Amino acid sequence: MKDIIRNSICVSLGFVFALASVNKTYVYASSDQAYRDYLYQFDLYRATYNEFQVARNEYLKFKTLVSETTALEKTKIMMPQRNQLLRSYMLLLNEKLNEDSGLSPTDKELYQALIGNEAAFLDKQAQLISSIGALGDAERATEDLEQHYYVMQGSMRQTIIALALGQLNSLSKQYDAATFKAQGILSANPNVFSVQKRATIDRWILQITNKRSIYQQKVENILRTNAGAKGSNLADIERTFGEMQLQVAEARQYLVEGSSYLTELMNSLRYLD
Amino acid sequence: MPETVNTSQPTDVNNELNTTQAVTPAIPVKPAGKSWAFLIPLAVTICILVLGGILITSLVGKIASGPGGEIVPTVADQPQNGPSTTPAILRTPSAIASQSAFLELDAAINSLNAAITGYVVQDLTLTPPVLDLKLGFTN
Repeated sequence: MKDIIRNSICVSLGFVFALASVNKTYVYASSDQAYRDYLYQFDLYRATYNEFQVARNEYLKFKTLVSETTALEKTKIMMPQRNQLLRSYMLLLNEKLNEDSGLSPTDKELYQALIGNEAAFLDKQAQLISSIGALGDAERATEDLEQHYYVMQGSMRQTIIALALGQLNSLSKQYDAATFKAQGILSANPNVFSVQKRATIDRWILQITNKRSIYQQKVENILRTNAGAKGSNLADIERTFGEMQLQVAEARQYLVEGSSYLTELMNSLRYLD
Repeated sequence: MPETVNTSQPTDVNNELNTTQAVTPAIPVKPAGKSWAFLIPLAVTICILVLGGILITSLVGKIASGPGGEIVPTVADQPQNGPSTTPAILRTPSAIASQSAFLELDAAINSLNAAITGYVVQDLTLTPPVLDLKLGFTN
């Protein structure tokens, strides 16, 4: 009898713990998971790169067969991890693009194609790395990556700007919907306000739409710059990227000002005087 | 037989008084007609203080009454019925304000403001990795 009671208590406790563990299972967005993976790969890369540096320095110092073998071994561990790190970052960008609601499907495909090209390049690199038999082979494989690296860095930054524009686009859609709705309410109630107040409201709406136009001009300027963004070195790429980020901030500021005008308009519509 | 004086007997009071008047007193006694003279400076001081007080009070009163002669009410003069709130400006709500479309639009604009404020231009999670690619085996 005691055994039956004990067993039933154990079973029920096990059931409770199982339920609790199910409740603690969190579901992350794909980009969150991709970001976690990217950070993990970065940690692994740092560890392997440190070991590679130690082995390389020893080889350069002693030039012995043992140090050469160790250096080759560590290089063959570090290079695939470097590849994996770049791939995980590409995957993060891809997931961010998938989650973006502001970009048009065409734009999304364009940037996903850019990322796809880089992933294909990294796949080729992986094949090269797997066939490395000497330090010279490793040098050649790395030179291949070095030559392509600026293109890759450019593609990464172009995608980041595209994601920022996607978010801005999502906000501007809300802005347009609000402006359109406000105009609709005013059209449906033409005689609520005095002539003088109505004139003021019309002027304010004009200012709200003007702000939107200036925002659009800025966004088109960023799109043009982003489409033609190229650089022969990392500093050039970084500079262009910085300028575009500044323009994104300016475009956001236009939306901030426009939405504050919308709030003022709402406060004015709330009262007759 | 010489005459002896019985000291145990009570002395004659009249005789003793006469003896006292005859002796010159050690502390000079002021004359009875000038006993109030020492009060004069005290009285003068009191008069000056009273007059000064009246003068200051009247001056303060004149300054406080202003040019029109009206007495400016001080905070203490006003009736105090506890803390008072700022009077609200009464504005007439428009017919639009109670419409559901207006309320929806209000909520949409608040949501837009929050979304724009929450948008961060520089997403730090997307910072690209910058790697040192050179292996450095050959110089």
